[in-house]
Amino acid sequence: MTSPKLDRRQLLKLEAAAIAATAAGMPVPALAANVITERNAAELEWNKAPCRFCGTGCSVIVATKDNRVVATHGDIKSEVNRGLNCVKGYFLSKIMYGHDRLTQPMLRKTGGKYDKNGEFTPVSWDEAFDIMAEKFKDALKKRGPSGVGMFGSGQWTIWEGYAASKLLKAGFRSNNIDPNARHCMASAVAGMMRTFGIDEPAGCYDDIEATDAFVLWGSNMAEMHPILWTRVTDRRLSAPHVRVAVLSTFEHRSFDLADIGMVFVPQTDLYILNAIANHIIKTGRVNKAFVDAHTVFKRGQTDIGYGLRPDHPLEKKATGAAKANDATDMSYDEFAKFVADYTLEKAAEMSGVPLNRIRELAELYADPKTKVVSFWTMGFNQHTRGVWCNNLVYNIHLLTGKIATAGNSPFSLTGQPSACGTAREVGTFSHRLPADMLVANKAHRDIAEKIWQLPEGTIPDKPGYHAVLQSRMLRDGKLNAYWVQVNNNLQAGANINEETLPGFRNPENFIVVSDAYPTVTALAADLILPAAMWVEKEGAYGNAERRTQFWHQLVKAPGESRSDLWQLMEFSKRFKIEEVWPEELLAKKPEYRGKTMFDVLYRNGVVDKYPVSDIEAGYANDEAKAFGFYVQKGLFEEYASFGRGHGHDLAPFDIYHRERGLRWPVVNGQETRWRFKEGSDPYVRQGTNYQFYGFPDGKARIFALPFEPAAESPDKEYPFWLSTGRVLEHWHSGTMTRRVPELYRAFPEAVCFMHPDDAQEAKLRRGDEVKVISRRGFIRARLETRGRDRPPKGLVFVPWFDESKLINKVTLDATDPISLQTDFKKCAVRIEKVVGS
Amino acid sequence: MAPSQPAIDRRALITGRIINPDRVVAPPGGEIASILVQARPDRLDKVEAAILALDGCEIYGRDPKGKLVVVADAPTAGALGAMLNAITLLPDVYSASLVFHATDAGV
Repeated sequence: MTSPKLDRRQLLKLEAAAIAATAAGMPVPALAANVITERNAAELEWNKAPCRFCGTGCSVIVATKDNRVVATHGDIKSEVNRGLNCVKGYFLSKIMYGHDRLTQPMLRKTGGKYDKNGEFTPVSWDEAFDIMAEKFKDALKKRGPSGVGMFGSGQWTIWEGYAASKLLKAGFRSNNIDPNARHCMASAVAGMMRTFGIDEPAGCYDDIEATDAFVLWGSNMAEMHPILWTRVTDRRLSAPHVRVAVLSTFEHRSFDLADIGMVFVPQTDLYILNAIANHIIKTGRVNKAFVDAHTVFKRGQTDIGYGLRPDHPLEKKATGAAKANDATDMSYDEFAKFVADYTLEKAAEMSGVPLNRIRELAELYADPKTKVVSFWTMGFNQHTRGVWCNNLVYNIHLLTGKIATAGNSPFSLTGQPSACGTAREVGTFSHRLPADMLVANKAHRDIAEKIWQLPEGTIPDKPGYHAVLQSRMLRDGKLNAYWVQVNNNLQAGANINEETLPGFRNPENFIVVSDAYPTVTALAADLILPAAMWVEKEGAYGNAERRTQFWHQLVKAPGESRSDLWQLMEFSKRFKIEEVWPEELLAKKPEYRGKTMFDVLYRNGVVDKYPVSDIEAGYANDEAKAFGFYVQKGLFEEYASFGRGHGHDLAPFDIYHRERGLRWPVVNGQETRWRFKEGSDPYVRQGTNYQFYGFPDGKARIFALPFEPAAESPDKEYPFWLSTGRVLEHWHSGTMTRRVPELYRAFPEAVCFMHPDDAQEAKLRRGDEVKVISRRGFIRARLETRGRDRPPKGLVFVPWFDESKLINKVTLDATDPISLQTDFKKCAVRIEKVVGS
Repeated sequence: MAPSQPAIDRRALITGRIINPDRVVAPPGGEIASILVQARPDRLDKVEAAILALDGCEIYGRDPKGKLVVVADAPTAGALGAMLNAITLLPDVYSASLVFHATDAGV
């Protein structure tokens, strides 16, 4: 019953208030309870879907009407966001409807024929795939499998990443496939593999409400993971003993909540991390029982270089570059001696952080009564010693035994919605296979070949070209047929001026880009394929806490745009297996002769096992309709067979359409919140208490790793550090958020944030147009000396979302030599005023 | 029918000056949403006043531990998103999250 005096708008407001109050745990006005039920009468279809922006994995409820998404709100049944939604999630309903949405394949043509220097011209899918197949076949003939490659995404759905990985590694027999997640969390992956022998965090978001202290190592959660930040804030406000420590190379919005705020000199996090370990040892707070039973000590290889081209002077002189990932055994005493030089005083001196703050931080970790959650994102991961940073933070948690129990959690947050679910778990990296397996490992290849029903020796035994190497190989003309899906690497990759753009425009190469919008990358391609996005297809993502979430197709994609999954599978029909496999391989499976890649990879009796009738009634599924079987279910079930029984168990397909996601391993229908701990992880043997079963000995590794300098540091000629990053209003490369006029207006263009004293010294004023110049290139931007980001003296910060100010023309493509992830946070620049501005 | 594609100016591409000013189809009708705000408990009054000063914002609930329930009424989705960002960036605000969102499009 509702009051007749209230109009429709007023009712909506009361409903809005009531739902917010419920989400916040505040009392609900009586009237509103009635209103909530009234919504059921509305003529909208409501369905769940995970948000397609960041790695948090919020569930949103999506309202559709007349084949259009008209609204989204936070899903109150979601354990992740509990009914809340951030501004990006809110705009999910708008991002699909930009005027410039691509709806037809577009090929560069002159006089009706393909021409690399021609103008983009609409073509049919047939014509698009004809030329594409021709170019891929040319590249295969010319160079063999290494001539073709693919750059994918942590925004691929699980089955898209899986289908792509299979197409490249099994079909084309090329490991030249990498996701843009390489730029995002490859260091977190390598860090997990080195310390634990298995990927992805021990803990989960439930740690937030159970902990006593949060430490942010290079993460601006307030702007980048706002919903998780709401949970952190809630914990801080409702439990006054809780402490928040924030470390960064410049001050940002997350510092507002910080009890201990620390701005440190770039790269000196390595000092601080080691100093904390030393402090724990020196003050006798090592959890000896835990360390003795569950860890071993390793001395890591040093002087490992910077992942630059081999002829770069820095690479030539790096003595450990060729064995960067190596380590030798050491004892606890040797480790203690190794870190003994890293005193808190020394860390304070090197980092510029006041000693009392470093001590307070170290005490949070050292105090056995304080449970600690460490969060990090790009500050750690985009770091030429990013893997080390990951290892070093695990050291601290392991020395104190603060891991794998509620509230004790070293946790790498992810940037993309399925960086974990697709890039990491499916293994779309150039060195990986599903379920943490490696292409370089014969036993792993054997397993994959068995599941994929391939002859022995199909999958190449060496890692392919990783992200940065792909750009270099394009430029060098060694990677000639290249397909990019769901990413904007010409904006997002580093050093585009010297590597990526020349690579795309190299006359020897044919570049295909699948996207929903004409991004910088799409416009630099030779063929653009229009892509369906988000709820225009059935999908699955895996978030940062190992939670796998599904959604149904809710609307149709516009025009002739098609999902990446359809594109991959349809394209595979263009190749007879004889055209991609050598005769000796084919001889081992003669029954494949005459079949297409589509038949071998996707019509293999497993992927095509589930009929269209298995699709839940009332939902469209354009891929199933096109191929005649329930494509997503078949791909998922085949993929899941890699991990079931091996610590990566996923639930049966249909369960996920009903649940708000489940955290793997899912064993006997039960998800796992804390891995490696007896009682909460079914893989831990009884009586062991903890078991780090990624390694056969069940023990985690504590690494001795020193400080080593950044690849490029400020000098006389280029006196400033440059750090790049995001702003609240824009996500990814701005391709979606910049299509919302108000977001666009709120932060229309990238600015160069600088300390006011530095500006004054250089006779610059706020609003001046300046050049940000490095050894590689420059951009022009307005100077900002106030606002939300406050760099210290000697550092400037420029966001990278702005396609008109491509800051990655300036950045250096130095990578972590182990993870091969780019360091976008450190290079040297100078700032000059643009004359006449 | 497919919309007309923007012409590709290679110069603009190479110099990185590709901006399409007309980027979104305006949604029909108005927007109503509730926003959960977390702020410094000892500055809650100030934050509340700053929010009320924003066009279309009303306060429907308050928790002295540092929470406010704001209901926003905005002409367009974009305006609402801008409002959410404006609240997020107010001094002493830790976070602002959308909870409920409805387009009043003849529903």
